[in-house]
Amino acid sequence: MQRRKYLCLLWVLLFSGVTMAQAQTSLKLKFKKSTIFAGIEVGSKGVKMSLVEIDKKAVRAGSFHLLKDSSVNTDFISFNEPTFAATLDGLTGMFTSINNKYQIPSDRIFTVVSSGVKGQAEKDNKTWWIQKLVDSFRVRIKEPERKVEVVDIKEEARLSHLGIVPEEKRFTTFLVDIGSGNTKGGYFPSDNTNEIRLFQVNWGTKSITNATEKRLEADKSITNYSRQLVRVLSGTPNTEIEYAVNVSGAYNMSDNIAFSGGIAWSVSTLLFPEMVDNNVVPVTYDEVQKFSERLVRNYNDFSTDNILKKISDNSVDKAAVTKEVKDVNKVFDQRALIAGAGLLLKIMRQFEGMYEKKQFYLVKNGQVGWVSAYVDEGAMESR
Amino acid sequence: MKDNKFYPLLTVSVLFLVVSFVLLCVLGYNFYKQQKGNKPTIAVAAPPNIMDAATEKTRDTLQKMYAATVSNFTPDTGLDSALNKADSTQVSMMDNKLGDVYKLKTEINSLLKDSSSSIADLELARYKINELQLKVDDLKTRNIDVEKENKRLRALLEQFAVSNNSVASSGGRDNAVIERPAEKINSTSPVFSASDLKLSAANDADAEVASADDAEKFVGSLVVRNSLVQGMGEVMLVLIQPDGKVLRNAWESGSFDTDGGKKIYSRKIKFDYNKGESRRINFSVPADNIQKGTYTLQVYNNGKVIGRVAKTVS
Repeated sequence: MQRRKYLCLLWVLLFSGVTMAQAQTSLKLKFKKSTIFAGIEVGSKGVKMSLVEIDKKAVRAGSFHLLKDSSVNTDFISFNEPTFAATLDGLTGMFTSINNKYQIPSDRIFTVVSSGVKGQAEKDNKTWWIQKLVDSFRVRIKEPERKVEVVDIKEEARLSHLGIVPEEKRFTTFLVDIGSGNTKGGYFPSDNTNEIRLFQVNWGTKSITNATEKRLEADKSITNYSRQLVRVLSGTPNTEIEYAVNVSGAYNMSDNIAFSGGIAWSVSTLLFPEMVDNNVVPVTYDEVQKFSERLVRNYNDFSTDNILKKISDNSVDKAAVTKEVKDVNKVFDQRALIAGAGLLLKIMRQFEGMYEKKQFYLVKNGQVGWVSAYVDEGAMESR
Repeated sequence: MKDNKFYPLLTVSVLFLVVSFVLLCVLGYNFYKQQKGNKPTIAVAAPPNIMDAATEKTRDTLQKMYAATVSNFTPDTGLDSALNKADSTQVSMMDNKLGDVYKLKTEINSLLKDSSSSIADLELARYKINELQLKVDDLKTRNIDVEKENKRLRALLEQFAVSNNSVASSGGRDNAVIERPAEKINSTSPVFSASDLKLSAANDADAEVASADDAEKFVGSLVVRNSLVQGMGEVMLVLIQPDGKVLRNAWESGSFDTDGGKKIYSRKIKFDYNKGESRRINFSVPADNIQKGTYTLQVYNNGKVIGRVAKTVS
């Protein structure tokens, strides 16, 4: 009987050991000796999770590799009971999954609330929803001392830069995140990564689309939409963008201009489908301009079938291209793409000098950038 | 009655005669004065025989200058052979220059041979001879450039033929450098040529390593040359892994158009370039996981492969 008990215990130990090893090996590690950390972010649209591998040899922040990311849409900033419950479930579910499935202990999981949530809660005078979420989460995971930091916009921009831009381009790159309601970003004017020069414009893809729609009147055609978009972009957005770029001093200080956000992901996916595996794609002003013209005149070129037909390189993963193109077409329709590309071009134009040419990049996975950097900095502090 | 009219008529006739005589005297005086006024000019001007001598001396000097200039220019020899081998852009440029030279020669000849040419005509001839001198010098320089480029391309072709033979005879070497001359220096799209391609696997400290386990990146170099354009140049490096996929890096890789459709490059290199210069470019391509097997580096410029090199990592 005693022997049977030992055998059972041995089997349980063996099984859990194998499961742990499988969980770790299912992640494609980059470094020879590394530690895996996780970050969970409560954002405006939902909850995002990132698994980050940090090199054991790393002596300073920045040497990390993003292993996995996933998200769940919960619309927390509606600040009502159903969205609160969905957000709490998402947050707790991800924490438990990271803990159990990937065997990452609690002290290597970072939890944070984004500046978008903070800004909206302050605007609506509903900051208590954030506190309620944090308290409920602590109760659910049975960690009353769990740290859940609420970051501000400047800190988020700083962390985004650290998380997205590689070390060798850190001090020469101006990062611009084009969101749905605003555009923000910045650059490091000196080698101090604690000081970012912030850039912010109150226009994003959705706000440009809405402003254009309002001008359409009876003629709802794409031609009229395109004409009205030019007028919208030439108005207040143009003045704001020019002013913000000039005030930031980014033109003189940057060699590279990197764009993240939904429109950057969409343009790079449709314009360079063969680069489906690359998270960052170099692009020129002319390429985006021609793409923008094709969106108006030959939108059918960007259907999944037509994109696949034009890929001649057999090494390209066509299944992945199909999925990405379908995702883009689900998130952005023709008008949203035209508006987003128009806004992108407007900002790019500020950096398209006659003599000095900047290198433009489109970043696809920008949404996990800042939380990865947050985890990385937290991990370095804890070592 | 008749007697009364005779005397008045006689008086009028005499008066006419006197007035005519006075007018003839005035005319004669004016003629005399005019002749007298021209005399000093004739006295100051050089005698005709002295003026001719100075013009002839200038003409002789110019003839010598012209002869010396023309003797430096022998279009029937080197230039023609260069023209026969040059591409269409060069031929067209040199044709235009030659046309200018022949036109100037005709104009100078006619000015120098015309015995009635004035000093001003000879000054014009001097100006044209100077212009001719400049054009001949320019053509000579171009001729030398074309000859050099032809020699270089011939050498590359020979090298290519030799390496092709050696690869065929050895059944293909692991680290064979297969260099090709620029496939065609097209008149509308100037292409760089690449030579002396080198590729090796390296560790963090840029030291060459043979094992895939020790390798962190690829490093190498190549020499680019172009005798047609100057300014900014760029080449795309396409590093093909043993599994047939192009090695990619975030922030470094992108896509570009080639003669065979869109391709992905591992790295793009931009460089400043002076016409005719042989420019060595060093590069490194980081790789997360270096596989065992043969890596092939293709160098593209203007959508065309201008060089290839292979490296085996064990």
